[in-house]
Amino acid sequence: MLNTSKSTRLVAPMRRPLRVYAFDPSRGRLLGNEMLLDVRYRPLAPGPVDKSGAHDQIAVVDYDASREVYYRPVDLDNPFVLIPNGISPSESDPRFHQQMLYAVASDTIEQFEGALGRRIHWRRAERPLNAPKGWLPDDILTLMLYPHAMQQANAFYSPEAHGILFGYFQAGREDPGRNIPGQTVFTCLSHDIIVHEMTHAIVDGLRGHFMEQTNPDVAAFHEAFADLVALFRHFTHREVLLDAIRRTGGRLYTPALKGDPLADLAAQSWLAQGDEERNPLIELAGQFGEATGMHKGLRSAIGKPKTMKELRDTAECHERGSILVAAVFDAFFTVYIQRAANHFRVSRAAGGHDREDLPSPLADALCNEATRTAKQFFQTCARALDYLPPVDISFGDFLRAVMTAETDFDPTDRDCVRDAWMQAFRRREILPDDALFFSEEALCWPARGDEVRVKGLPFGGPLGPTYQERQQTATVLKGFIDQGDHRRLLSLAPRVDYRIPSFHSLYRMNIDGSVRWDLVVEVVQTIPGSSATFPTRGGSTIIISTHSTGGGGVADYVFVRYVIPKPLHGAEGARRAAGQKAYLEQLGTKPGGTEQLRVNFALIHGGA
Amino acid sequence: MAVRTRKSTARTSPKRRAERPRPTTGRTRVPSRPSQGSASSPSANPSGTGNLWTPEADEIGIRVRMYRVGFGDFFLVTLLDDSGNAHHIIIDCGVFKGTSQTGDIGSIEAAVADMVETTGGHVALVIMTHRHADHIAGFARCVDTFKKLTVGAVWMPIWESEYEPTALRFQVELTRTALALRKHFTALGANVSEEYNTARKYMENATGEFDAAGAAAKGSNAVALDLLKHGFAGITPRYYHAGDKTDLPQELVNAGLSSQVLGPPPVADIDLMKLMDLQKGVGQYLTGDGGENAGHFEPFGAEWVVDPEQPPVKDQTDFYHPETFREWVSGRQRKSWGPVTREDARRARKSLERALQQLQPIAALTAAKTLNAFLNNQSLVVLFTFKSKKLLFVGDAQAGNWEHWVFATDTPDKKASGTIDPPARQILTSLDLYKVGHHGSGNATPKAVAEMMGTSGRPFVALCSTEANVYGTEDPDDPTKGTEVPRGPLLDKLASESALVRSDQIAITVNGKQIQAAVPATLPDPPRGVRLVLGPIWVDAYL
Repeated sequence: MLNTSKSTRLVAPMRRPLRVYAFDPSRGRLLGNEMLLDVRYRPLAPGPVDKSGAHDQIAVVDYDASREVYYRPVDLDNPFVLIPNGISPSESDPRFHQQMLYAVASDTIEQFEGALGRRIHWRRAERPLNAPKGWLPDDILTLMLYPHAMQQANAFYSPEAHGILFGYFQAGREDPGRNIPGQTVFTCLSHDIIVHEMTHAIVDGLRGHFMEQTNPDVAAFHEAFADLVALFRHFTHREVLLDAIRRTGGRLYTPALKGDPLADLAAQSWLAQGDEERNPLIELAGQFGEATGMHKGLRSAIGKPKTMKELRDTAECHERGSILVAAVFDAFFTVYIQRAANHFRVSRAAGGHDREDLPSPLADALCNEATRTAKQFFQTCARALDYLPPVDISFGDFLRAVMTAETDFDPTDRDCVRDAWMQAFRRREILPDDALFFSEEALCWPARGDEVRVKGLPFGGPLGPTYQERQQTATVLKGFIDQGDHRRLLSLAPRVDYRIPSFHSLYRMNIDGSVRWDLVVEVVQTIPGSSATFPTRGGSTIIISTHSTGGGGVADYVFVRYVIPKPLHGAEGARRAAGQKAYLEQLGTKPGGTEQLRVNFALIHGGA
Repeated sequence: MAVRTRKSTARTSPKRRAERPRPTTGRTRVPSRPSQGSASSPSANPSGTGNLWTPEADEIGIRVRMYRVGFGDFFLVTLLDDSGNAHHIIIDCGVFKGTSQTGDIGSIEAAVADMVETTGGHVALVIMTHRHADHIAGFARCVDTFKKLTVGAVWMPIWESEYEPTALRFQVELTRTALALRKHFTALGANVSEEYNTARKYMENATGEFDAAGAAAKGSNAVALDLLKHGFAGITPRYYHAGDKTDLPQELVNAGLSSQVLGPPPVADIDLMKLMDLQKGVGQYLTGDGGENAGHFEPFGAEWVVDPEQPPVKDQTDFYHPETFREWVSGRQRKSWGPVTREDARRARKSLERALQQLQPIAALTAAKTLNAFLNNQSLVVLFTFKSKKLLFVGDAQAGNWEHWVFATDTPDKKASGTIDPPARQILTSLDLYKVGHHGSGNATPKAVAEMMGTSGRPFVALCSTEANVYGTEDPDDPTKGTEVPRGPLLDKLASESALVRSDQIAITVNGKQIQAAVPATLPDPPRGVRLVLGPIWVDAYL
């Protein structure tokens, strides 16, 4: 079989190009709103339905539960569809809707897998520690995407539906923005909405308990995180980005675009006047927002310069989340401006003037910087997920996770990215509860040396561990936790059963190009609720590494690097339980089972 | 009651309690002077009816009559001036059938008749707290009776004002949306679920009933509003918000009454009214035309609709392969073991369809609930002070309305965790009578307020006009369920610090028909200086 070079068999392609809207249909064909998305190749049934059997597979099923009908599914392998790179963008052809949904969802999955350094899977039902093998009915093996599930101005991820429901509705008769009054608006044609909902599904698959609303930050975090992912995607749409860079003079952070000949002063009056020419890069779901009479995109990245203090009691999770989004974008623009400044300096040195229109090579260079920075920020955000405690997360935890992930990934930090993050969060008073100082070292989760070794873990390979390796890992981890005083070491409550909802091997490239292997383990303990009490959860995220700052990276040299705890016991446990109780009572949650705690996205996204 | 006694012992020695006139509990007790007296001889004095009763020792001449109308509010407050003449105030007159359809027990006409008889056809002040059917339906149903009354003044919340552009715009929008939602839910009648039903009821409360002949176009609430705004000769309603100086009719001022408006918040503090939620959650929820097409529409032509069972015809590649439904196949072959048969796929498809259909109504219902809360928050909240006694009527005020005056804030504070503003604290700890908000619902009367009322140790009377088992059992997590009204824990709390009377704890007789008490109980021990007396269809609190 070595002489395969002589085989005439065609190999399966790596990529499948598909046409989609870069934003949504309301932007028409201007400005690269039609784009070609190169998604991973998977064998597909009509739908499209992924037939690969991979753990991250998706299926588009066009069932309309409002009308109780099915719409004709698209066959992406039909030559008439293949040759022109998919069906051309159209609002009236449901097959294009299915194609776009499939393409954007696949792309989002790939982005996450790239950043996380592993393949993802969908939500798994909660199991005890030594559960029998096999699938449970609530496990999601294929994420179902329903492009026209309901006649509602809503789209939401629902584990009960094993997927995401996208609604459609008629735009307002009055004030529909760029839409025709009464026209049908499809949420499944909004790039942003698809990415946002996919992010919810992906995060729910990564961490089984992240969706449990135990403090006001939880739902807000999910909304903010999903918005961030969608927003950072905007910076990969090159044509739009170039146009925005030209029209903002490189100042991407301006919410309004200026008409070409206008000077800065005039641009400001435009800003004051309103938003006729809005900057698409920092706005989410434009058509949806307009159609519903809100005059602008659904949420804007840089509005609301509020602090946490002012919003102390904002339980409305989008508003609360918008602070986090604004903080991250503040950091992003700080880094972008630093990087862009170098190019401006070069341009000036070569005789350019700031007030002129940007020369094309400079615009190109700025465009590259924006894309690179956005990619870096997205990856930081995605990676930070692995550095979060397994339950009860807060914005402060997210900052600490970001700082730690960044430190692990790029210890030197020449561009002062970490400083930008810190300052942006500090301006909004998003502060961790437990860090002693607001310094880089204090904000990172405390890293341990290599004194606590974990023996006998298999490393697997970049394609993920085999079944046997997973079994072996589970056995080693159980042995490790039960050993000696390791419970205390791992901040686990004594005498409470624990579960290991997930562990993941990460194979990531450091900034210097070296490969690093880490194992992220979630350990969760639960005190069940009763008719009068709320359930409480605690636990730790344990990051086991081969890669100490001293060098390392030798097989068998495996140690606990981070323990990121949310203890169930002690003073901290009592404080959390009290806070959770107060919060849940305010929400009006009934005491009882843990299923009560989960965020209901159908409600959160209800028309928003 | 035992709890209350324990509280009051701190102030009242057993001996003094024994000396106090005791009301008969559980049985009708004829007031010292029967009310029939005034009916037979309509008073010549236009500013008040003749002596209705003589206050007993410790009383100052206030009677608050809570009619048992079912699920709704109808209060008649009567004040005796120094010469013993009576002056009357009506606060709301409504009833609503609720989700169970049993909220309207059919007594409101009789209650209105009693009111006319008692007042002799003259009412100094009519207050409409907000425009929900359970507060105004009686005005519509007995519109001809009301038109014969002479009325000194009408008060309404600022949101009813036709001179307040923001309020007007939103009221129009609100009504339009409520009508649209109602139509929407009605249009779905064929596969009506409990959730849709609940939502439709919410909207019917907002718009009123449609069966009455003249009311078919706009709903009975429109009839009531029309009566209150234009139906009383020579009377232009006053529209108030918190902090407004009130214009009490002179006869009430002369009698010694003063009043203070505590809610709703000014229109500018629109955040508190959940208005943002309304815009996001309701205003844009339905098709923009607000009605005609509020049911379903077809996003694509019929040619796009396919039967998923249909096997492909020759060369057809776009059809539903059984593989599509693998995720919903039960049992082992879900994960790539073995192919999915047509039969598997058919069953799987059914589970998928069921799951999606069950997820449908939530958003619509949330929208309906938001709108409902918005209307409740418009409630006019009035504090009456009559010869040092304080009576608080709060309508159906929900969180935002309370927050504004209790926490003195202009931003929403959902936790209601702030410190209670000193003036509000002063009011809450010195009340003599509290009209329990929103029929005892948990979403009115904030926890902090209920607690604050108890801190003074000063017992008061709490009147709760409600009807048990009209709204569903409470599950605040799940808006597809109704809201438990009245809310048990809240009423327990109030009962522990006051003499709490529920309108549905008494049996009444209407037109010879006996209506049993929904939650039978004897009247509680009233605090000192208060008598609680049962009437044929009401409970009187004499202060």
